[in-house]
Amino acid sequence: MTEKEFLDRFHTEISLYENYGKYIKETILHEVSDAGLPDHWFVIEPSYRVKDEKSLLAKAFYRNKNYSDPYNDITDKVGLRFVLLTTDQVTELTELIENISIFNFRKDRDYLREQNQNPTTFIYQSMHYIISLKKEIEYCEYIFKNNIFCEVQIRTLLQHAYSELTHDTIYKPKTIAEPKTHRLVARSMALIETTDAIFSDVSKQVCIVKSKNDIVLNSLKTEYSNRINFEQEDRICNILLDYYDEYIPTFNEVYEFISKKTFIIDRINDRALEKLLYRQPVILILYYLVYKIQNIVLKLWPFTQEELEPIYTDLGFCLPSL
Amino acid sequence: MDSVTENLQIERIIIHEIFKRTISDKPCIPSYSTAMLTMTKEGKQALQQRLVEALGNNSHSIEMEINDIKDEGMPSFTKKIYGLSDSEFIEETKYIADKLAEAQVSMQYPGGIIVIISGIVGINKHPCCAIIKAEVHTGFHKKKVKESISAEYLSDLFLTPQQKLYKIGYFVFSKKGTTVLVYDHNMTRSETKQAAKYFYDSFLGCKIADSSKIVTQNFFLLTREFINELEIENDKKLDYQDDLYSYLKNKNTNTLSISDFAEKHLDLDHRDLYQAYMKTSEFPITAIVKELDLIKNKLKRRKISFSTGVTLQRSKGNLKEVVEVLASSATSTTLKISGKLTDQIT
Repeated sequence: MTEKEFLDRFHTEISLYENYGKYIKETILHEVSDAGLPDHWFVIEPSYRVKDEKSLLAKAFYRNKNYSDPYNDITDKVGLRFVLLTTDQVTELTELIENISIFNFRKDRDYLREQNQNPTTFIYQSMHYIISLKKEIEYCEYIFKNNIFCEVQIRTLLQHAYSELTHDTIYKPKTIAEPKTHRLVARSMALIETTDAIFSDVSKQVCIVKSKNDIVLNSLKTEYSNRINFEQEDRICNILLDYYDEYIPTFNEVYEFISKKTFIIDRINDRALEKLLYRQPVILILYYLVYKIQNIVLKLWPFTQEELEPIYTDLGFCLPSL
Repeated sequence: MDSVTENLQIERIIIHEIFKRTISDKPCIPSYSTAMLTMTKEGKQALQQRLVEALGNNSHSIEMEINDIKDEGMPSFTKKIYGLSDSEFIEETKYIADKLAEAQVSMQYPGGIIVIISGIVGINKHPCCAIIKAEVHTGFHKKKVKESISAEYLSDLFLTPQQKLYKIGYFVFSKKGTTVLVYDHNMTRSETKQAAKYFYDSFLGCKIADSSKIVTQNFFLLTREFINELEIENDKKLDYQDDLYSYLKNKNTNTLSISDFAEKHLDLDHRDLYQAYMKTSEFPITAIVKELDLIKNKLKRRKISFSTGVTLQRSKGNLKEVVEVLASSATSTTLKISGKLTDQIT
């Protein structure tokens, strides 16, 4: 195949590839939202891009790749990229993609595998999948056969920064970079890998606290709306959950408590109209905590003492002197 | 144990006024109200709060036993008035004022306002009755006159948060019987305990529980056990045990309570633990009269023992003043003892 033949064919198929990229992107995003993952998951808006002619020709004919059938052997004529914040999210997304039943995939790059093979080097890190379809699919006016490919890259924001910096200098060298530059770039990747690991720990810790409190809060909200005749607000819920974080009971403990002490609901109904505190679902936990740890509650209370006094009175407790 | 003031809801309030005796052998006739007192929601809430502060969990109130079982005695009489109509209630509460005027036999006892409250309490809404004798005192009232702020002198304030100025008798009537709590500041101090007698005894018809000696002993044993089981440094334990001895041996106090000990001597982080521990052991959650008869000998000396049979004791004063625990492990303890080794008795 000559360069001209190569380009002629490519020109007729550009919009096919573009639409294929779009289709793969939509399919993956659909799975992401089905899995209940948040909208802000991607730190850069996912986008697909058809390779430009010049780099396509360079890759096919001038980069010592020795393709027997350059047109079909080049599998990244269209590419799609997902950039996430942490390595855990990268793993989550790769698992999700691998489980999409209509996809055939080949892993071209897997930085975890590469780390195992070369544990002492620090180079470009990313996940690359070559995606084709198991069965032919019709999309708009296009037909995607099972021999059309899209390269999907998945990486963290820091890995992406590395890639942007080194793209034309190190990874695909047109000129041979200085050893000094190589050393600097390797050092930056070592640092990126370390930082990514720390980011991952941070996010795990935040998730544990947040998800524990979110679970309790969601159940409280339902319970509140079932029992209290006022529109609930949650302006100070999270503040209080934060302040009493290590003492937050399970929802069942709170439920059992308020089911036994039925008057608590009456008192909340009495005061909800006039007092913001009683319109917060967290009020249910507050009664429980005053009952269990009256000294600690008062010590950690972030607002004025008067707000807390009626709760002690309802439960028949004196306000402790600290 | 849940509080006997939990979910206290005031329903009816009436006040009468009683006066200091002018002749020693004849009570002054009270001045009676002819109508029920109406109160705003905030006023009721404040009054409920006063009652709970004086009688609730961790308060200085004392649970008492009923002594006067006659129909006209306060325990039976207050039970009867719960079911009365408003007009009957107004009429019958005059008798309560008369009884208090009668009980104030000394010309030294001040007059004041008697507040009679009936309502419901607890999850099961048991009837309850509270009788407050509140002394009148003075204060100022903020007043806005045109653009400036002025203060008006008031000579007839009562039921401010100043607890020393009121006494309360509180009755809760349930299927199990009548529970009585009495709050009187005079009860808490040894020197004034006699002055409290006319209110709880002559007027309310109650007496200090016979079990006070045993309950005092339990307080000592349970608290000692709690301190021993706490996961803290031995040196800190020595402090706490010393505190327990001093707390019990304080000659000026007539009562003791879990919350009082916790607030005076325990670090904040240990207070809830201690209160929960004592609650599990069913120790009273209000105050009790301190009677040391059963633990007199134990309190004579401060003593600590070691697993090897060695005992260290001090005849007078706290151990912590002269002993410091420098280090301790499962097998040995390093102490520093102030003083010279004087005797080695064989």
